[in-house]
Amino acid sequence: MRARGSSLAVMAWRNLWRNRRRTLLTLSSIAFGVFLAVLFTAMQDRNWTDMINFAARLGAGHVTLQHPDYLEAPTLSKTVQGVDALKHLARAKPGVVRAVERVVGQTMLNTARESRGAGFIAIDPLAEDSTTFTVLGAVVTGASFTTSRDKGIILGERLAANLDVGLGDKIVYTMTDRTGEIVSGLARISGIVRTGAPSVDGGLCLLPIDAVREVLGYAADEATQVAIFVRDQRHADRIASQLNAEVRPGVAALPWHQIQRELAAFIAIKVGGARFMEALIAVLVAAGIFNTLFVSVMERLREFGIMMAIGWSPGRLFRLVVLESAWLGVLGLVGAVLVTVVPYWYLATKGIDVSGLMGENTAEVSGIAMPTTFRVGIFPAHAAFIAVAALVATLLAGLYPAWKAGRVDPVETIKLV
Amino acid sequence: MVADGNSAIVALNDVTKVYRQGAVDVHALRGLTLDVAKGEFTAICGPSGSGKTTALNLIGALDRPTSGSVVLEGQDLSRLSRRELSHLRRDRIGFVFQAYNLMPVLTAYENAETVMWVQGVVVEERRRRVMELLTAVGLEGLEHRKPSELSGGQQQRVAIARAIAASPAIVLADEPTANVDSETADTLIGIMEKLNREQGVTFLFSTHDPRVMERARRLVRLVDGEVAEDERRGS
Amino acid sequence: MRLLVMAWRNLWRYRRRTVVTVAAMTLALLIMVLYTSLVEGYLRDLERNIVDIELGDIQVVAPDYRNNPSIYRRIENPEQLVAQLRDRGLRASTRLIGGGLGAAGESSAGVMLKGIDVEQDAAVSEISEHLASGQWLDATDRAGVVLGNRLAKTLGVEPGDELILLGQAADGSMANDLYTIRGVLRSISDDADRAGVFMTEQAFRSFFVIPSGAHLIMVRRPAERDLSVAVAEVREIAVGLNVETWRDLAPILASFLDSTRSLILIVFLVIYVVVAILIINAMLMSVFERIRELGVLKALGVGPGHVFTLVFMEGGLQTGIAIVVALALSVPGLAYLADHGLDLSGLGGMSFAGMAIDPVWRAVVTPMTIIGPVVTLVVIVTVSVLYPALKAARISPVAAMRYQ
Repeated sequence: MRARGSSLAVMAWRNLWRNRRRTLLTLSSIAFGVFLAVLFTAMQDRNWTDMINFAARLGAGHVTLQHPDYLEAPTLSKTVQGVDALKHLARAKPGVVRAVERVVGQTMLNTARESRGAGFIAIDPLAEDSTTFTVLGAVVTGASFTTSRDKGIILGERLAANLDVGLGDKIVYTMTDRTGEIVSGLARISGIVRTGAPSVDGGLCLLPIDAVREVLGYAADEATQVAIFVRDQRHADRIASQLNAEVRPGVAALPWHQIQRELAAFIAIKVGGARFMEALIAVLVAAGIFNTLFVSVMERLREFGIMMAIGWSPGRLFRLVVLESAWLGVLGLVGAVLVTVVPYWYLATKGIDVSGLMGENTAEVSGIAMPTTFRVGIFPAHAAFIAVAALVATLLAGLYPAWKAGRVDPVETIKLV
Repeated sequence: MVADGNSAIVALNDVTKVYRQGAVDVHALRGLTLDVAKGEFTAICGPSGSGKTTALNLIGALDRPTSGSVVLEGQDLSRLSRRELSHLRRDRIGFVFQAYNLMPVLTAYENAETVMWVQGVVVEERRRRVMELLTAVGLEGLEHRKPSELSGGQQQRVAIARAIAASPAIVLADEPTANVDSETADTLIGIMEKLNREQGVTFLFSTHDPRVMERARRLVRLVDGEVAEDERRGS
Repeated sequence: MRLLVMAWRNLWRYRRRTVVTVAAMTLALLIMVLYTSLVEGYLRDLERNIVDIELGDIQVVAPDYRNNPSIYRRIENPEQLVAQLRDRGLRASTRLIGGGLGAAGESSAGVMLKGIDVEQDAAVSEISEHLASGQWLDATDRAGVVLGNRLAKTLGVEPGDELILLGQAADGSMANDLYTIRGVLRSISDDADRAGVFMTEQAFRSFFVIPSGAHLIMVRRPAERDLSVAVAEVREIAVGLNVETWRDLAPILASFLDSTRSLILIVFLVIYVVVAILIINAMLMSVFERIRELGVLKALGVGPGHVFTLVFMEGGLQTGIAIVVALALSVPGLAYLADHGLDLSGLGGMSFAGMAIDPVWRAVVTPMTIIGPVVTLVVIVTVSVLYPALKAARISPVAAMRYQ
């Protein structure tokens, strides 16, 4: 009566189907739990990646090279020199897609009648497009600059309306240079952008980088930042630390979450909240599995006693029940795949438009527009983690019942009718 | 040998019962005709599979016949709804099962009063009656024990008390002594005899215990779902 | 009563199963209660930032000011309007708003100057209590200004430092003056944090050369008066002017506040469905292992209704215990979260739709934050127990007796 390992697994399998309804219900709870976890995680993986990429293309890239003090005191005196060499260095790193130089600061815009404060971003129009800077894809009137020395300026739509100016009108931009002197430049409006994000449309202007360098008295390879774009935002940390090891003092490489602290905080809270809910679901599902296995052991005590009496070892009984829980875990995962695949496919390819919930305006989180389409896309590593976690939870829930089975006293239990 | 129609509590007329077991039809009863009169102390005996339990289930309004009629106190059971059958069982029939079948979560006292409780008898009346019955079956002082704290014989006495608590027309006892030793069996039969004699409770057993058959005042022998012999003994 | 006793005793036949089931329900309910109270606290905080500090209930501006907020578009007779509004029991205060550039040391930033009638404003806004450092404005200190926190950081200044403001005055001249920073605000909104410079009304008027009029009147209603009633009253008074509620001004936030409270229900459902599967399974197991016993009850003439009630009560008792335990456990949890809050400041500041979120989330307990999770749980358990209870009620006595 020495059964091989595989026949123990077969026996465990058959035991599972002695009470089909119970097994199916337990499986459904595993499948539902995994389904929820996958959907939660996939939604977040996708949305946060979208938002991080969006933020990178709206701000300072996934990784930013800038003066070490610029983060604390973002003034136009905190510049980095030798940006061409820095761009070269960055582009050589695996995973880096683009690296562009920028001058970023605050300015006051004046017309004959009105004045408004605004942020400005000075760019090299030949090096940038909407894949490095989203706003360039939102030009509704006019066009982007043709060269980096243009005397042009691009305004947010609301900003232009507030200043009561249109295409071709003259604007004076005033800023403080590195010595604290107030300096001004003159530009004609060459384009108007509309992004739907109030902070951009109402408070941002774009300038050609060399024109601004001239006004500020910067050297030709001097800028406030080099924005680096990477293929996968999860590699931003690695690339930032690699760059930090190589750049000279006076330049710091910062990943997006150190620059976009608010966005990072928002994402951290959402991810933390989701992880917490997933853990709660896991505990609840495990409680259900425990109940099932516990009762199934209790009602088979007599059977286990007889098996023990004919020579089964406690270890074998323990393994039998552990195998039953393993089967539950595996089948639960199979069930999870079955129930998840269609909704996942739909949400990954089509998505659900949730813009109706927020009205026609875009909701901004820490200045970054929230995606208005609910889509999913899970990182394979996260999917693997959920699968492993589900299996581990199932096995853990089965340990006590299995131990109970191994401790059956044959004499006691056979008497028990 | 048909008993006087007026005094018959139970009348089975040409009753058949066919069960489907898998692909096979099992003919449990094949035209059983049997009357039980008030005050009788009857045992149905026969080999296993002869239809004893089926007959009791039909009389007890737990099951319906395939054909023929079961009449209890003049009421044809086949015309009653499930709800009416349930009420009938509650009010007119007492059950004693082979495996006692007490509620494990209730005490002896509570088990004995179960039926009266569903009947809605007031608490004081229930208390009086249950104490009287528990004394009659010899369980005074044990009323607060749970079934798991009682011996088999004691549990069966609780079951007897439960069965007669609501003054049913008939008490049906399915192999009531099958699970107890012979001394206890004697005691149980004695208790039932006494209840039959002193309180006029009508008993109908199924049994294959010779000691029970010996003491029954009427012995019906079933073979293959039919009455093979019906013997009345002087009281 | 007898059924209740039986149900209670039945629960303890498989103690471990009952404990696990009740514990799972308790955990789910406890967390939902804490969660709901935290969300309520966070929403109220957001609402407070919007209404009590940033926007007020209702704002009155000159026509077309929203589309083009220029210093020239003013309300001509604000004092008279404020007095009329007060007669109606509405609190009101005027504000002046203009753009400029702020500079300190080597830094400069575009700023939004806000001239405030310090005494009046205390009645409509809690902004004066919302300082991170330093002090709020003082009507007698005309050179004192208060800054938004991110602006202060951009400029690298703190209370006591000097600030140069530049702007274009209403008469077309270049306005230019030196101020002293009195205080720095805590986070309110993206706009106020990044660009807000608050100064006294008199200081604003002399800087921009605007002797009269105001850009905005902020109105607060008494708590018992409905927003729609109040806005109608303001419209009657402010003839020819633009009257908007905070809901018109911050529609995303308004709908966010409305929808979040109902979206919590979805979280309840997700968590409770898992609980429901657990309960259905546990109750079904308990019914099936007692099939014989329930069959006997039915043989004895106990009606299906009674059997149904019995099983139902077993589910109900477990839920009842879970509710009592969860609520008892939630008391210290809620007390802690109400007092100390959940401190997320380690993550940095946050904002939603331009409105700052306090990084310390404090729980706010209202009847709804308790009743909501409890009632949802009860509803879901009721639905879940239905099937096992019906199953038990429909047991056939004969089949049950044969069942092993």
